[in-house]
Amino acid sequence: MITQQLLQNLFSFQSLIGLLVGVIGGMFIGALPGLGATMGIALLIPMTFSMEPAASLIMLISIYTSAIYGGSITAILLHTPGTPASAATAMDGYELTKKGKGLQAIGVSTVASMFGGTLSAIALLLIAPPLARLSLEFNAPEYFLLAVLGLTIIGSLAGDNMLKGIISGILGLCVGFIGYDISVGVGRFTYGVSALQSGIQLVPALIGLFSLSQVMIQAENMAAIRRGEKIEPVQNLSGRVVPPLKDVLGQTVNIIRSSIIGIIVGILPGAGGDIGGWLGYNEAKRFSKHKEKFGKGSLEAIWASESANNAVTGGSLIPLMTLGIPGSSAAAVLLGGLLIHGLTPGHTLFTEKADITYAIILGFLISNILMGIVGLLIAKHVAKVASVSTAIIAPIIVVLSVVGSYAINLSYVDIIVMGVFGIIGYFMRKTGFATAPMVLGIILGPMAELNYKRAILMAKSDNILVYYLSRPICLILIFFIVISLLAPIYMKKLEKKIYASTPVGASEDENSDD
Amino acid sequence: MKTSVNKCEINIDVFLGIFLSIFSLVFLHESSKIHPEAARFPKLILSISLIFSIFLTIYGMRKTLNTKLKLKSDTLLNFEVIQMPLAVFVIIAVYILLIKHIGFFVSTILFVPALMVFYGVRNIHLILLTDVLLNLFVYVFFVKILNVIFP
Repeated sequence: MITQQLLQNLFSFQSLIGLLVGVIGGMFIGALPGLGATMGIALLIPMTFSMEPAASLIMLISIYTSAIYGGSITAILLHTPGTPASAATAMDGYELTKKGKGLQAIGVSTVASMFGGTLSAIALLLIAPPLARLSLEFNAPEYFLLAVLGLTIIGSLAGDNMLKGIISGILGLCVGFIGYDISVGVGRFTYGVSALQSGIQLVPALIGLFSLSQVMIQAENMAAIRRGEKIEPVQNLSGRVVPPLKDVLGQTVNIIRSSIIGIIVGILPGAGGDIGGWLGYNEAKRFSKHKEKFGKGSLEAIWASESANNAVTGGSLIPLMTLGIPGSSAAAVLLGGLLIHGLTPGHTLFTEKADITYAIILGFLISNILMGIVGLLIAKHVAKVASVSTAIIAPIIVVLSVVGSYAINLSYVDIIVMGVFGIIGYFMRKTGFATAPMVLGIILGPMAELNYKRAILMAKSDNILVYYLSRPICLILIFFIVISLLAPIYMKKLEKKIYASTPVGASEDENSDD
Repeated sequence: MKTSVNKCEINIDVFLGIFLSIFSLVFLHESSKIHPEAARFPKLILSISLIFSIFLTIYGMRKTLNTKLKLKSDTLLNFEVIQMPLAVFVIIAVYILLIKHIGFFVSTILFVPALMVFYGVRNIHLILLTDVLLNLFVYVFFVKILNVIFP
């Protein structure tokens, strides 16, 4: 029965269209420098409202994995990583392009991304269900601490400043206070404005924080845009795209090792595709018999970085779907997508909604394979999209942002919310406050407050702190909260060590949230 | 953002910390006007916000005294850089306001060429093509397929 429903969800017309749109669209979104997976998902969430839940999430997750791959295309051909996750690939990839082996590098990148993403999908399928069963042991105190854990982890999502990341998350919590408190029946911080009674809607805030702020970030290069400066596509690409089977088999150990690294990095919140890519690259170099080739056009390097950065995608979905803790910025936005379609992370996702959830996971697996096939066919043409001027992209993004914000509740107020959060998001990014933690704060705030109140009621007359400390799972969660506060400090030191030991060759978007 | 005091550049985090501290205090005060049960969690979070804002101020002062602690994100904000983004935002804000008064499609038809011209595009055909295709896409996909009724 479930299998039948699962297959219906997976192979419905909407799901198949969503898969195709997600895979191809994601490649183009990833190839466009300055856009990226997070923004692509944020912009396209409103378009999934009328779709079936499985089809919507399949499309959004396909965009995620495909955008990470798409960034490698321009990284290799134009030395311009479309996403930070492809920074490691840009180094060796562009060297190969200069030697006339650009297509070969694209082929390797495509197959490596396919393998990395597919292996991470298998990991998701195997690890997520048992982890979800853990959530059965959770009650209000555990859920409250889980929300706190998610919010302390946001410090890891924050650019170069953990303190600002935590403050950003707290501000997200504060956004959630605006509106009607159902438990008591009073409005909070509405100041008589009826439009604020229903609170600040998540999706318009999300679109403003990611998409509109990015348009403003790109406008900083107005002088270059007005001069018509653009990235010129590489001409006369020729040669073989599909890597020989012998080469693929020879890189099996490299691919598996890099994919495992990517999956683990993906599970750790805050460490995104860029960390995964660099770690995979570094480990491959360490084990390589031809270390001297790394940085000068090594295909082995591309096998490693691309397997690893795409493996991060599946890894980041594991804590997201089981415990509601996103493993990356894009996963934080996907959490919003899950909730909008009535899919609450945890055990119920793998029991009551199993037909939808497993359809999504299998759809994710299929999307990685499809991405590989489509990528081999069209990759060299995707690179041309990088030469489209910002002058054309900017108005398109703004109009789609307005439409997406309005279409949710057919409310003009949501367009204003989008605009307000756009300017807030811009200044946040200019002052070192990452926007992803604020999104997480907005999403987790209501859950935190509800379970905070319930936990107090459950404790009855006991001291609340003693009550929390008397529950074993709470003790473990408190331990992880402490670790998550200390982990970013360790990750930063690890990052500095990684970046210091590799040659600098790729560009960095200092304002990026991906 | 730099302010010179005795040849010492005050780090931007000092100003941000002070601003956020004031923000937290104001809303803590506002919380006292709400039903106590409804105000319990906001008061907790705003108190934590105040503490972290004070930490940020102190950290900013440390960075002011020891410039080696300065991060890349401390130097991203300066007036020359934000002029154009703010100008773009003003155009977007006018567009949003116009939607309410003259409708979505009319304001979008005006907005797209306006923004493209602001970005320096002078090719009339390109402007018209972008404007028409974008509006057509929104009309077909959202109005006809998704039945969204725009203002």
